[in-house]
Amino acid sequence: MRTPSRQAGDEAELIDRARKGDSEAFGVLVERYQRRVANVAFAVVHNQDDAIELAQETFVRAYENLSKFESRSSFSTWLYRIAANLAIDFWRREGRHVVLRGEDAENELQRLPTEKGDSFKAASRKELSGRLSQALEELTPEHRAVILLREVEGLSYDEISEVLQCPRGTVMSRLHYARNRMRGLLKDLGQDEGG
Amino acid sequence: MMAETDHLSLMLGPFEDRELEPHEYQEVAFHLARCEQCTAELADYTQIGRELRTLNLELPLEGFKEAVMQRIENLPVPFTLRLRRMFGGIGELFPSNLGIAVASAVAAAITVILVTPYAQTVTNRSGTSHEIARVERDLATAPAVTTQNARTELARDVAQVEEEPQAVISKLESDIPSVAVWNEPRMDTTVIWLPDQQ
Repeated sequence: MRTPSRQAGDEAELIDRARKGDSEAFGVLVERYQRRVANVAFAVVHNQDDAIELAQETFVRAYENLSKFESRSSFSTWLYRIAANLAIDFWRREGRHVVLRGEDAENELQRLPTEKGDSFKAASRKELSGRLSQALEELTPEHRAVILLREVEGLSYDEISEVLQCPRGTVMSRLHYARNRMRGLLKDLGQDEGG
Repeated sequence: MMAETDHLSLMLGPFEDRELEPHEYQEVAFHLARCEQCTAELADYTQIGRELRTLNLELPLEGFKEAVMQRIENLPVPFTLRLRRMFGGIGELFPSNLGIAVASAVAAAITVILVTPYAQTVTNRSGTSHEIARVERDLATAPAVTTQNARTELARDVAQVEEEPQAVISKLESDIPSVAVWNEPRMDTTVIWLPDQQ
């Protein structure tokens, strides 16, 4: 079984080899972090194709700048920071809200539950999933990134602060806003049902 | 109670995330025990987190690594990396840093020989000296033949050289009367005229 310290040592060696031009070693790092990096990008842009393209760009940038990577932060945090920066820049540059994935959102909204309930808990899982996606869509990329990095990726406040390069207090306030906003959007679902 | 609720509402998220200091954690826990509103809010936060984690966020990553590696393959190799690879290869042949030292010395020597004008001059001079020595050696062993044609040809060539304003004849004699030797600074050349051998 691989312990965290052993993986860190292994990782340091892979980074060192990659710095010397060993692309095979870098390939191992790509495999190790591709999903999480793509998820970070997706947390911001909320579009699969863009997120994958941005994740690829993240690894290319990381490879080009490996010499600048210092071990003060973990390699994964460094990667997430590149991904988040690229994604936020992309989102601002493109200035677009992407279409909700699949046919889901529209269909789900057409089929709101008829039974009564005083909370969004009453909604079926499928409906809840559709509303969650829509609620995420309505958040700004900064708020969406914070809540997904916390809830899905499990990053601590300090790690989110480092990835998004904002103070810890900002992370807390964004998270509070994002949660309340989502709660409000999902509460509507329960109230619609009741009304 | 309302003000306390507002204040503690901000701490519910960090409470859920276990990001509070112990005394804050205790404060929120006490409050939750007697505030239904905050308890419901916290329950909603918990469920939002749970539902977000169950959302199908699995992105299709087939061929992702290959695409990244292809893009990396197409990047121009930085000069520093090329140097490192070169020295690294040499370094494998020698222990410790000796490889780098040897490679550096070789690179410096090549630079001096091929690049600097001084080295080029030295190379030319040494080549010329070598050629003169060879000719002198040949002449020493050859019979001294002097012909009228040779003298005429020599006189014509010398006159031609003299017509060129920048051609400076610094020497027009040698131990052997039929041989003429002169320097031509404009072309950075030493000219050795020999009569036809019969």
